[in-house]
Amino acid sequence: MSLRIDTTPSGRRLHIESELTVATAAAVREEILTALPPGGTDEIEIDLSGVSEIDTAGLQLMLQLKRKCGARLRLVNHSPAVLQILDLSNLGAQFGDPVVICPHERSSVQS
Amino acid sequence: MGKTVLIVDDSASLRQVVNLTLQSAGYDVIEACDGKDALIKLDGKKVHLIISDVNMPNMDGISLVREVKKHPTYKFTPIIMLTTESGENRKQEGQAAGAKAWVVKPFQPQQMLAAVSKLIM
Amino acid sequence: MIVDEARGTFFEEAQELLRQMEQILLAFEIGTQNEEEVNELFRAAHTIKGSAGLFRFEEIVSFTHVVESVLDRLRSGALEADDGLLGLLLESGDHIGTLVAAAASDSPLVEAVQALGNALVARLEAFLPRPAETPLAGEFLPEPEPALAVSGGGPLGGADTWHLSLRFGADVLRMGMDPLAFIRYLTTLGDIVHIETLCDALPPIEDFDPEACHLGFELDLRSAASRQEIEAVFEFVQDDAQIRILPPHARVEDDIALIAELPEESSRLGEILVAGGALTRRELEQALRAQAQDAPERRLGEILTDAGAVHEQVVEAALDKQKRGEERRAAESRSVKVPADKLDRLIDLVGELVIAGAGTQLLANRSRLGELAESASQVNRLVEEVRDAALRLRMVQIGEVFNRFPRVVRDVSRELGKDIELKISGAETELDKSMVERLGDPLMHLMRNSMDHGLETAEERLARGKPARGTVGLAARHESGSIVIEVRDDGRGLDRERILRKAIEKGLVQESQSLEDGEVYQLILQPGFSTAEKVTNLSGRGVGMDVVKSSIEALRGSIEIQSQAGEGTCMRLTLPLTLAIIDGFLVGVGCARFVLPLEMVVECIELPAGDGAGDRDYLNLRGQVLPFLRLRELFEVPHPAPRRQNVVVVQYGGRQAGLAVDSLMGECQTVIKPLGVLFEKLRGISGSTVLASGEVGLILDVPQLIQLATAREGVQIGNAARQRVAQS
Repeated sequence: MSLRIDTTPSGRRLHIESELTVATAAAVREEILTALPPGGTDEIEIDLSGVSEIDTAGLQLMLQLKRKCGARLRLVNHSPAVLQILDLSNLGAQFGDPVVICPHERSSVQS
Repeated sequence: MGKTVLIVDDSASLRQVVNLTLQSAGYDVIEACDGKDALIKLDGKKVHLIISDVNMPNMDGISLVREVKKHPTYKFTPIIMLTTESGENRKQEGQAAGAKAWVVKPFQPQQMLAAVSKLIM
Repeated sequence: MIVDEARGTFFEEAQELLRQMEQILLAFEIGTQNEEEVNELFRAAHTIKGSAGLFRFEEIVSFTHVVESVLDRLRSGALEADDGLLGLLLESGDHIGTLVAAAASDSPLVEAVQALGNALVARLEAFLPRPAETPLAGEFLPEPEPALAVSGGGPLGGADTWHLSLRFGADVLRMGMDPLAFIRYLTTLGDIVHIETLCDALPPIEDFDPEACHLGFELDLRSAASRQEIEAVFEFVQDDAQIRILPPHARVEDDIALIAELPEESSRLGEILVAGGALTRRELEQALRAQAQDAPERRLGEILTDAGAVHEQVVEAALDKQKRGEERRAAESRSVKVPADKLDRLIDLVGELVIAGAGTQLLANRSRLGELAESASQVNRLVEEVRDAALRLRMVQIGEVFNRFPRVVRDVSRELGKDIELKISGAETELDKSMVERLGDPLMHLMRNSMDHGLETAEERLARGKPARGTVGLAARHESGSIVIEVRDDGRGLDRERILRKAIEKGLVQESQSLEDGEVYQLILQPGFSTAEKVTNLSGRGVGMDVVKSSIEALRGSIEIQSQAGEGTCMRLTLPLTLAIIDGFLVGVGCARFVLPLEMVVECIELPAGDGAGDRDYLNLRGQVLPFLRLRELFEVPHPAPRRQNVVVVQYGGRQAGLAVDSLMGECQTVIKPLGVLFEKLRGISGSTVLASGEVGLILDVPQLIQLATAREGVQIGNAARQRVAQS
């Protein structure tokens, strides 16, 4: 299992706890689709702090999640790997989620 | 976190040079001396890239690629094949098996580092 | 250095593999042989070659390559392992062992080993289908390592903004190729100033294949890298992606200029564009495929501009070039291509013919048969014409060498961040083909030296009130039977004091010695001499100027250096036009015969009677001091001097000296035969020849003799003499 689901007062929080690459993309997508059946309206937070690695496949998956759920889905706790790839692809704005960059992480992004 | 590279070649000196070069650039390196040894060394651990010679005893590079491509954990792992100018026919075989990145021997350490960096950095 | 650490492993490994090869070969000899062992044999050679290349042991690589090729044929069944072949392979294995040992002890190969290697290669090649393509020494040299531009940290000086349009095939991710990884790697070549990730092709999450790639990228890269370097980033996905690279505007002008400077060899538009660096080979192939498949009636230029690969102006420049090349080729269409070795054979024969002809002439003259003498002299005149015509066959324009430099200057100027202009003149000057081939490397070294050490940075230049753009010049011309090639720059000039200091430090000269500027500058040609304070990628490669000097001297040439502090340096190479035959001037001392190259002879005068007996080593030639050497003393010719002696005034590199001889015997055609190893170190003699009479004549090394004469004359005597001459 690469997905852990917490229930919060406002909705649900999905923790992705694996790499998000072509090697795992298919499995992660299945789990997310199971967790987010069509027609849902609750608030979803995707916690990315456990994403150790991400590649183009992972980025595609995040983009599609965002498209499918729109504003009710927020990406939070971006891991350094995720921040780096958002920076590289210049897609931060596309997701529209506030990204908190602490100085420590910023430097690791640039390195 | 350093990314892990598996280098498969029957020449110890070649492995050593590749190993030292990649290590000094921050990669973790695992060595294997032929295809069979490589499959043993893989053993489920996360490997980001495989570099393999074609012509080796016991199990050659092309058979190794076929094995790796069947393996659920490693089927999408990038592979750099080492070839020589005389090995064109085997290159087609290797490409059909799924190895798309080829580096011609002899190469210089910096060339290998550049090739690796293009795929995983 | 990483490689050094692993060298030991290589030597051990190579020895082990050689032992293995030997065992297998010996087993074959007593008749046991199976497929797996043949494979093993091949693999051993293969591994040695591959690893040797890693350590840049070129000799091992090129020799083992031939062995490997033979083993490959053995493996494929094209060859039978008979006793002869096995013996040869054993010998070859031993030779590899010798090469490995030499590499291990870092010692250069002795001639005998090289000769043995060549002989083995020749024997091995007999087992290969056609004259094997033995790799040239340089073939395995890797591409120059790409200069990694500094990324980040503000705008790059002189960097341009490229536009890249990237579309990846659906399967790339499954092949382990991550588009974003390539883009990340691009940041080592420069700055990505803008990137747009295209997600339009992304299907909804429910019905998409998460392992397929659906993203595309448009990005602007600010980088000083070349088109090839940028394209190489995507080499592993080139068959599975559409990569379009649009050059920055500034490059367009560069490309046009470069195309104009190309040699007019390639007749095809695409080839011209590739040679000019405006297009990569792969882009050309793609466009040609497109042309073949979709639109045979469309022109390549249109396809390329439409695909955005090349700017229209560049295509026009290339078309223009193509047209001019075609015009020239029309004029040359009646030429015949002849292999160089056939030509060499012809020249050899003509050389023998010249000698034999002169012999016949001599006999004819002695025979006192008027008609025979006349006919012989007619034959000789024709032989002379044949000689000249034959030598002209081998003459080529030096432009063949010069043509590579526009590209070199462009690349180097980018690498160094200096703005450099190249001025070429005299590219049409002709010289012997064998010379042209051997001039490339020394010239390359001198040019790089000028650009690297000679030229200042733009800031330094501006600070000194010079134009920011530096100039390097490459000029050739004929000058009294020699060819003169100049490499000049308008840089900082040589630092006389620093050179002197360094030379004293290295013990090359004594502190007390007073040297002229020219002599001081010559010091930089000494082995192990380098004033560069920092070793750069270009000229600090460990190949010193002494290598340039010895390769020029091997061509019977010389280097002269002129320099003006703050204004620049000029390296002048003076070389003979050909290596094989010279017009000589024959002189006699006692019963010895010497030949002087005619073009160096200025005049002949009688040695003034008074001076002949004296021990002065200079004479007054129309008010000028002329140092001279007595060949009788120099070469210790036993016969006593006759009453009347002559002085031949010779000139080389702007200096004159006299050579005192007994008799003047006139002009003669001289075929140069090199001296044997035993006599190589002889001072003052550069070769030998067979005279028409059948005697052996020694060819004098005039430059060396002039040097000897002027050195001997010495500063003090020189001064005294100058005073005396002034008074007289």
